[in-house]
Amino acid sequence: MFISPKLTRDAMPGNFLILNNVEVTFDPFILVIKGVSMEVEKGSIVALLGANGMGKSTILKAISGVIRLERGRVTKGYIEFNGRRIENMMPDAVARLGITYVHEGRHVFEELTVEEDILSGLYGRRKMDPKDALEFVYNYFPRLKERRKIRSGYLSGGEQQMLVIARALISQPDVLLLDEPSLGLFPSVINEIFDIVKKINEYEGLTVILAEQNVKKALEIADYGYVVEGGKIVLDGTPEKLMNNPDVQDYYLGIGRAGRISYQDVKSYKRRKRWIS
Amino acid sequence: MVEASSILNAVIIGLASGTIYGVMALSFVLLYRIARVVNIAVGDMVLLGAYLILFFAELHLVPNPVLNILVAALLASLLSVALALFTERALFKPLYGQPVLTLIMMTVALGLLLRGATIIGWGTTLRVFPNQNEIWPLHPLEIGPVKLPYVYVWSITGALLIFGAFLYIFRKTIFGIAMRAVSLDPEVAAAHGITISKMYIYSWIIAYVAAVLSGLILGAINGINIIISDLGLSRALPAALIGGIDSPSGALLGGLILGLIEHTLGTYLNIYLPGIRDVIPYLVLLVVLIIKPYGLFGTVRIERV
Repeated sequence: MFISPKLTRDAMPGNFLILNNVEVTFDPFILVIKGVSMEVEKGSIVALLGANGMGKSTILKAISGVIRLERGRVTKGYIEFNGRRIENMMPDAVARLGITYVHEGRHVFEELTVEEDILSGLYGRRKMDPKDALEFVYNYFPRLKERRKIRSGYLSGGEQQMLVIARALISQPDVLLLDEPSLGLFPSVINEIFDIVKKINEYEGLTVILAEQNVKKALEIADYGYVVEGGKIVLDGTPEKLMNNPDVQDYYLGIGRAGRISYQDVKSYKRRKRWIS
Repeated sequence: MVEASSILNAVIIGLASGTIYGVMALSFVLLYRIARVVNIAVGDMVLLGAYLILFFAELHLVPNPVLNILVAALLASLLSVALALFTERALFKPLYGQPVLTLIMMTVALGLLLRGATIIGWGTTLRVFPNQNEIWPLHPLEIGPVKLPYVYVWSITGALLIFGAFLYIFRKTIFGIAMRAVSLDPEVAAAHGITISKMYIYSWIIAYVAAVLSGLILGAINGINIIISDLGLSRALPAALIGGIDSPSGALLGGLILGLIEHTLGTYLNIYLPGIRDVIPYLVLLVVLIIKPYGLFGTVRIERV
């Protein structure tokens, strides 16, 4: 029932998106990402977890090149995609390679209709007929099909989030960078969106990197997780490992020790300088 | 007492001249909408267009005068594409991200540059297109009681072609959608593979071609002279604002309204108040902006709370 053009392509196993010791500096001295290394397997869902201002979004923006529009640069290390260096490329060029970044906060093109908004993702990256491409995304987002003639500014928050994912999906990228898809949404809507993301990942073999504060939901669908703190990766592992880690439980899941915990009892990875090497 | 047929005539001629204002306003509107450039140089672009067409027409590449002027307009349009590239790359690219005022100042500079170039190249004496009377016969086209000079027939046809093609591309094609997407949120558009600077170049190209082609009509109506520049700006600006500064179809409507009022009310009042005709566009603009601050077709931004 799901049309899946991806299945016909050669599956390339192994790590195809690699970040090696990446440092990101903004205009021109603010060091935000301080040496991040990640390896992402094709077809997996990877979660970046952490609180606000810790650098999750910046990592995604560094991969997609969007930092270039915000006076940021990768000043050290490299990012490799399919054996090709992509750090400091402009975002449109990265997007044409098959990496699409979905901004945090549901940036729909308000004045366009839903259908036009989705189609805008197809410009310059057309792989199939626009009509087929639309049907392909409507399969995953039937709700958008019902509303295709409405201006996207009038959609509800959840529908707008679906819209921006659909817009990213229509060009059939290899990697989808999702920035905070759960932001400000009702829990059942969050579930719906995460289910769809998981489904797309399974049916299309789409690699997803997810920056999330909703640690529990993110780990439910992820294959691997990284905890980001202060611009560094302080912990990584499979979802089970992270879920069972006492610090993650304390810090992000709130299901650790019972009762109130003093701040001093909580181990902050910031204070544990174990990564200095 | 004014005769009914002469009022009808004034209405038709007003609408016909409105089409050309619409095309000039389109040039202005598109640049504002896509590249956020308030283009004060639009009149000078029209002026340069008129001179470029004159230049190519005087080469007499084709013996037939009508074909000759069409070929000249085509060549001038092609040259204006090169000019658009130069303008965007050399003058405006370094300025993106700067305050709006900087961009406006650059368009003022561009206007002076273009105007200076025409004065250096062709002087300031009034010129006409070669064999103008063969291209647009002095005897107007008579449709019933209406006497329509041939130049307006050209103006209407040209404007319909330009607006038809443009609106189709802008509304229906993925290219047009991408263009509108850039105008709404450049950063997000870039993350989806749309190259912003290319879109800016395209909008400059369309703006230049529209302005240059308006030069043909304005040059034929008024003669080719430095005055076209002021005429162009003083009509394009209010027409664009009346239509809502960012709406291409509004630009056409604004142009039509402007032409209509100028040729009916303006001409009538001009007998009693000489000079009012040139003020009328701004009076219309004032009234429209008081009633509808976003202009007639302007985008009212959706604010969901």
